[in-house]
Amino acid sequence: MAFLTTSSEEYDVVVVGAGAGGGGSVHVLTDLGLKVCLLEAGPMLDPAKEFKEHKWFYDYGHRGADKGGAGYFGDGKPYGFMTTTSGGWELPGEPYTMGEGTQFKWFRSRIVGGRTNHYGRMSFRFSQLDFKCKDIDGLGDNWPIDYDEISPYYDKAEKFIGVTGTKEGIPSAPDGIFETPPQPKVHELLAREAGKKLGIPFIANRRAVITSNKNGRAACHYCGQCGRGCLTASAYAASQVEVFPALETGRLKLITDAMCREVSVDSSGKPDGVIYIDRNTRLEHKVRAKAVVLAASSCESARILLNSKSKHHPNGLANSSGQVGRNLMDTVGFGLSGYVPALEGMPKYDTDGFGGSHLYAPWWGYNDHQKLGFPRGYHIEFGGGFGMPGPGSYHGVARKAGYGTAIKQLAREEYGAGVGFAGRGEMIPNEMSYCEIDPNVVDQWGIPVLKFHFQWTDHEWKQARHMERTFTEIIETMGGKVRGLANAAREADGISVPGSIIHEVGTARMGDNPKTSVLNKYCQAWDAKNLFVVDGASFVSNPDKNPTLTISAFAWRAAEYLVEEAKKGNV
Amino acid sequence: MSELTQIQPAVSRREALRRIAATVFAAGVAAEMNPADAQHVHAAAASLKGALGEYERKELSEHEWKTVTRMAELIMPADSGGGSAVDAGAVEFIDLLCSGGEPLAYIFHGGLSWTDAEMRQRHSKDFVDCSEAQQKALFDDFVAVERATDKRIAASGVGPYARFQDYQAWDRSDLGAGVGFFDWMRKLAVDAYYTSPIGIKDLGYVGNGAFSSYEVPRKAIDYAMKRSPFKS
Repeated sequence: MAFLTTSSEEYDVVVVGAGAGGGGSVHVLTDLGLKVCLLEAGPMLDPAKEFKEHKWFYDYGHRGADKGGAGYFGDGKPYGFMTTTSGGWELPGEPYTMGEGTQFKWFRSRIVGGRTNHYGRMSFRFSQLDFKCKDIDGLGDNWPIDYDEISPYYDKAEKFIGVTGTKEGIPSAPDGIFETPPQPKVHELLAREAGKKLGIPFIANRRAVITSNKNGRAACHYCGQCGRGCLTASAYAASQVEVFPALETGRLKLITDAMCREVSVDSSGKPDGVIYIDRNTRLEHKVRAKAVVLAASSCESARILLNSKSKHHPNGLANSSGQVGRNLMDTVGFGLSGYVPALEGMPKYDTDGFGGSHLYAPWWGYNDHQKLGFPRGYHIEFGGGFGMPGPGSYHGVARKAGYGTAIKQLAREEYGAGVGFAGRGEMIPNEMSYCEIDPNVVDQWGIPVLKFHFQWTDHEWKQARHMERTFTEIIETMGGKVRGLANAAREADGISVPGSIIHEVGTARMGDNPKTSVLNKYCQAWDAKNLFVVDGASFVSNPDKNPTLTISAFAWRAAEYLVEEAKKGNV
Repeated sequence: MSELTQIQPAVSRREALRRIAATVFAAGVAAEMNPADAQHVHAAAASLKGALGEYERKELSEHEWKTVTRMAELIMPADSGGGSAVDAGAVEFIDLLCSGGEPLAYIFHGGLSWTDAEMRQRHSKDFVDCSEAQQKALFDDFVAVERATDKRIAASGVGPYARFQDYQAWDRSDLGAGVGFFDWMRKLAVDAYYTSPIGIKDLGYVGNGAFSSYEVPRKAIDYAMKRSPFKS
């Protein structure tokens, strides 16, 4: 039977979650001299053991199809055998439920570094247009800050993490402090030419990859395998870039396999630590701390707050506004693939590059919304080139060719001539999309689980149709033909399944008004001055820009603010 | 068989990778990749035969093994660009996967039995004992069913929104089970081929390296631009 033991030591801060927000927090907090305890629900990461960088598929008898060909049945590792994803869409013994009519996918990564070990590293600053979105179209809410307030923290995050890019002066995509980006690949140059004709700007991609040596991290060596985890830490991961160095300061205590259940409060209702369950022993422990920073991922942090019920906080902690769990947003996703004859038979070259596309198109239609018929925008990511062949790469070719040498001939002919475009767009928060505690279900640790409710609205559907038209135009302007959905199994209905882009944010939003928001503009809870939420939960809106860089910037600012306020005796 | 059944990499390759890691981890120094090391990684990695070693049959019967071998040869035969799927380890690959789980094992045991039954009905012989012309005639029938299915999907106007199930709704129920199995056989033969050093060389994939800078060759850019609508 589990019972509670309390740490004898009181930490300055306990941080829950070792991903982008938690990694950034412990980096800054230990740097400023604080004694910090970091809880991670998964195990320690050992890059040398876990990362499959530079492996070939034939290094494994199953060639990447996984045991029993699990990958062929959709039961393999999410995003393929070689990725370093830890966790996935379903975790054994840790269910989540859905309301009627809801389809929602929740990707949880339980390991030091979390999803940053394998994510796409796209790193785009939000702009003033994003922070004051309601002023433009009357939808959703404005953020309680201006771009100029957060810009210095984007600077700090970019300087520390390392982000590629070029200065472009595009209002929807503010420039930053950039690493030199790699040269565009051939299919990207063709897309850029098509973009010129269509009025779509393709510019150097902004990814959290260093192309020069930095803080003991080596410059990118262009194997293009960031998703497998980067042994040289050239691609940013919170584990390698923030948590491991913070451990070396001697001011950080890391507790792994620690499943946080709730934030505990003292007799006055003030947070005084967190209670977690050790996954190995199933015993319950309490870590005492003067301040609590939640960075467990947007929905997991909301879950912890909602489960932190006490007589002072009957509806959960920091939830006097009733907004915890509300305003759940994901990114609108849609993909289309095409075939470009101009690329057929091109001299072979190494297209691995720095992983992901070397160019991307930031949203260009910010002045055209009257005409477009949908609010907000999307950016375009795309792929192509002579990729490493893997399981499944040539099933389509084989079906088309039948059998015999015809398969080989067609594969040679088409190699490198395929392209795929993906849109990543902004959703407007709506009342039908939220998460709450399911009163009837607990996970194997006895912690009540989340129940999701989610609906796309016309805004998102119209945007996805615009993506489809745009990608068709780009492919055709390149002299190519549309082939089909880039990922038919997932996006067969013309829009991504909610949650599947893994940009879920908004469940403890910040604001100017304690009645309608959970946090103030420093990610500090209105209801408890020593409680901060520094993952995507704080987001007021979910611009088309992937959330991680903004999580890093806000976490950095929150950590500095916490220390300043503590010095003044205000926490 | 352990879950990952990792093949022992050649020591020389491991050493090369160790040297890469040592170079890039050396704090503060420029991560200059010795081009000889990069080359070495490619060369060492390309020796699958040595890496595979002796394989022991696990799941398929001797007869099934022979049948799969013959089918893989027909599906991906050797040509001027490289060896066959069998040379690329397709039979070992299929046997190993079948030994690792029920769905595939049932698909192959069942599919192979169906094929022999069909061939005995047609020619009073098992598949492997039939002539090449007879074997190919069966595959031609399968492909004809697939083509008719694809044609129907194209005509239906669903375009890119066709679903996986649509492609599996064969137009001839009497051959349906065989077509479904043939598709599996082909998928696995093709995967074995293109994930092998033979298939990688055939396609001309030149990546998975480590370099201190990234460059796109001028001749590749010129080639595509000249053939594109942007040639002017």
